[in-house]
Amino acid sequence: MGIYILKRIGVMLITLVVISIIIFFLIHMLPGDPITILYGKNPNPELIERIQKFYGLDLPIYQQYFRWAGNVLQGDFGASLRDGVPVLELIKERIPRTLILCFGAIIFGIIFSFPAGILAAWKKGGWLDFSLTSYSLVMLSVPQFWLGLFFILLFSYKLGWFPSSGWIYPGRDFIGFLKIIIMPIVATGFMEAAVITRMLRSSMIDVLSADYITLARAKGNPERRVLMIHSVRNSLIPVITVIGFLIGYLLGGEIVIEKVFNFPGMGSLIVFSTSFRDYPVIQISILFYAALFMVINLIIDIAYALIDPTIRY
Amino acid sequence: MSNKSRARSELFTRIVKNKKLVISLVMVTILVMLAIFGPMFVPYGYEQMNTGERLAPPNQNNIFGTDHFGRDLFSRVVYGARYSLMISLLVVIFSNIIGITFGVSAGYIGGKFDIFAMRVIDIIFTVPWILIAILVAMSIGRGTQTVIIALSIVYSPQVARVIRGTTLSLKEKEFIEAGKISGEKSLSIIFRYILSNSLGPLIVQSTMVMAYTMLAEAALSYLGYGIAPPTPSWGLLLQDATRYYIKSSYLVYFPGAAIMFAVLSFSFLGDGLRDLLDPKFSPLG
Amino acid sequence: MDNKLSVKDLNVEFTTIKGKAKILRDVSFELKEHEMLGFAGESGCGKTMTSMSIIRLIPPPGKITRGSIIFEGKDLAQNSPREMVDIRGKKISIIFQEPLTALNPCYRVSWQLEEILKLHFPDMDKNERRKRTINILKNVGLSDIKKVLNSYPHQLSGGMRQRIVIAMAIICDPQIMIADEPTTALDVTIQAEILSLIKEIQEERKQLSVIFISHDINLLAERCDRIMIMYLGEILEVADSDDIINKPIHPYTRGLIGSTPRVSLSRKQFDFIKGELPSAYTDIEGCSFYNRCTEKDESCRQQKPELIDIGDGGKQHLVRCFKKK
Repeated sequence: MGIYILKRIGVMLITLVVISIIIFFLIHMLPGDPITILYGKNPNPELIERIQKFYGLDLPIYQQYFRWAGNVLQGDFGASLRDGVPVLELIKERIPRTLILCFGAIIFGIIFSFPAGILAAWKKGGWLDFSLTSYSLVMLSVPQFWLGLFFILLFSYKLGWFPSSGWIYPGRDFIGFLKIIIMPIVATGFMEAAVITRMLRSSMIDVLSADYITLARAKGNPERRVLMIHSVRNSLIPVITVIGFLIGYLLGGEIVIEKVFNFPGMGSLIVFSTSFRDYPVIQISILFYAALFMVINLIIDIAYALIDPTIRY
Repeated sequence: MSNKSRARSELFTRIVKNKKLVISLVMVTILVMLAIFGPMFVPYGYEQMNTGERLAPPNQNNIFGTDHFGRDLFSRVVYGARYSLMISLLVVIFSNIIGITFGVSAGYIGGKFDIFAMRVIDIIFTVPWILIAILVAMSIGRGTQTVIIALSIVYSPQVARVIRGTTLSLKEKEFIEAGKISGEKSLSIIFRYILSNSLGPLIVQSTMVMAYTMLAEAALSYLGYGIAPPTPSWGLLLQDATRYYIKSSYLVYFPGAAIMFAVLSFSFLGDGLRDLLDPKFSPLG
Repeated sequence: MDNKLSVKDLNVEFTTIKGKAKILRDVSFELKEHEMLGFAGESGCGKTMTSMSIIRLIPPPGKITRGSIIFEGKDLAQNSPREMVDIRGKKISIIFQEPLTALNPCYRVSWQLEEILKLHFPDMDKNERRKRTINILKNVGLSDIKKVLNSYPHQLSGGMRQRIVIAMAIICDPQIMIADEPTTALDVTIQAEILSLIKEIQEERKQLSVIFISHDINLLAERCDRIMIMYLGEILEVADSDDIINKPIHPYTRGLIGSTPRVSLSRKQFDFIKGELPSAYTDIEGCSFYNRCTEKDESCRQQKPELIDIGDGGKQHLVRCFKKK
């Protein structure tokens, strides 16, 4: 198992390198010269030369890449083209915030959907099943950011429960922190919860008709145990697959949610820096999301192996 | 009854008995009708300003109200149907074209090309869709074409994977030999058999892609990477609303409801079609 | 009461959109102490449904509509789910046909065995549980027990898994064990082993009675004390195995015996039973076997025959036919 994890991490790193190369070249080949954008059409040529030298923009592309890569490996992530602020500074605070949103949304999705999916499967065909299934179908059709807007309308302005934007450090005011993150997390994780509910329900229904479930009952298991201990574990495998597919969508949605709630995370940083062609920042931000995606997928694969003994490595 | 017509009437019965399918077909038809004919019947053009008081809540003159330019929200929502559907349809078409091409080539040619193609697909999967869209937007600016290109790229891997799988399994089979004997070029054999075998899952997937695209396009337009004003995409309507929705919440509800309706009908349709194609489908369920 | 189990007038119905299907019609029989009773019949005749009714695991939309199942002085048909949970696995256990899907793929064998003990003997301590599970696996003829206990089901063969299922069925020393086609899905060589194992278990444990279900009447005849023939949810004939095989009365029974392949020098052809099972949704006025019977007459169609004892010399032989000889 440990070897498997190491191998996966290796593949991850290689993929990250490949992605960084692709992004680097793509970004630099894009139309739109950052110098022009930042400094206007007729800037001082001397100034331009100095800036170019400083950022290495006068070098051929592949040399620029190695320069960048070398720096990154030494911990120097470059500096923003806009104001020279080191990229590391910019992302240091934003990364944990985005992580809180992403993982919060995943956890919220799971907490919400598991009881719903299990109940719907258990009481299949009843009114509870019908309402849960219809509810999750509707939730699937709502654009995430619209849900965010709706939450703001309802909870911030109508009810005044939660603030609609900004950030509070958990250390400083934990309750305030909770109030600020709850809407973004729920808005991001809602769609995921809906998909998982449906998948879990359908998977449990399949499992409940299996022979070993009847045998579990024949052994004298009360229905509660049949559900929770015998069925759920077996039902999780397709559910985990689905969660894996959703991660890409979730991360994308998270970026949009950051804009809706004015949340100062990596998502807002990307949106902000792309309009300025701020290469160094864009590069790192995209790599961050790609790395996050792969890490989450790795966690999911490990979860697979833990749950299903037939695929242990 | 001949076998063919018996199979057809059985299919018809199954379709009619499946409530999901019937309802969703009705919904989709409404949507399509709205998209094609709606704009002919709306009271105002989508760019028309000052059709009533600015930022007026729903009233007799403007049944959905007006936005900050005095544009009639109802007309804009109806026009929006046309744009949203058109864009989603184009994305479905292009992503299928790209996906099928990649998938068939990867499966058929195999070897290094296959490995290369799979790596590309993996990478597209790894980068969250929105970043791909942002990159495309950075290259060619915002706009309708950006959305179409970006989303076609994003959704093509799924198609490619399915098609590649079918290609690989069919490559080995006797169809190819039999076809070759009768003189057909192997490529056209593959296309025919692959398409006929994968048609079902592809259609189901295409309905889901329609649904996802509408959501994604809305998000992209909202962020400012998508369709440019004044074209009334539903996502843009929501972006317009962000400055004023605190006082004029109807600006958020109507476009949102429209998106929900459209996405719901296609998801429903996909579900219903999946039930239809799945041999385990039971009329008791 | 001399009988381990006494079933009277048991009726089970399935209600679907097609209507009401009568799965069991007035089924009455007794299971005696320390006996092996065979249920014989085609698929769909109600043998499995009878056993599922006993342990009250009839799949929905089925329901017991009438009748009683008396066990240890109580009517199981009236029991609450909680009462049944106590009985299942401990007093009445069941073995199913397909060993490859009988065990939960996510848990080790040791866990799945010890679970039964934890459910029914919550005060038993860990060591005692361990001892019992090791012992029971020895009893069912498994070797390399430590390895088996640590394994997951997918790592074991079909024969091994069926032995484990049997072990699970007897670990609590039940009063009744139901074996529903336990060897049908196994290799021929393993079949014989498992069959002898079951026979051995039944003979050794004096408090155990076994209901053995099979479509192969000859297999039953070799091992059971008595055999009960079922058809379309009804009992057609009940007698000692010898009498069933050598003196079968009901035309269906005779058809069953003739149509199962046997290596026998005196029989050169199979006598298949012609015709098809009527639908369970229809009520049949006369004899349920009418449309396939080769010895019928008009009166067979108009009236349903009763189950009558024609045995002599104290041996019970029940038959549901007008043409008893």
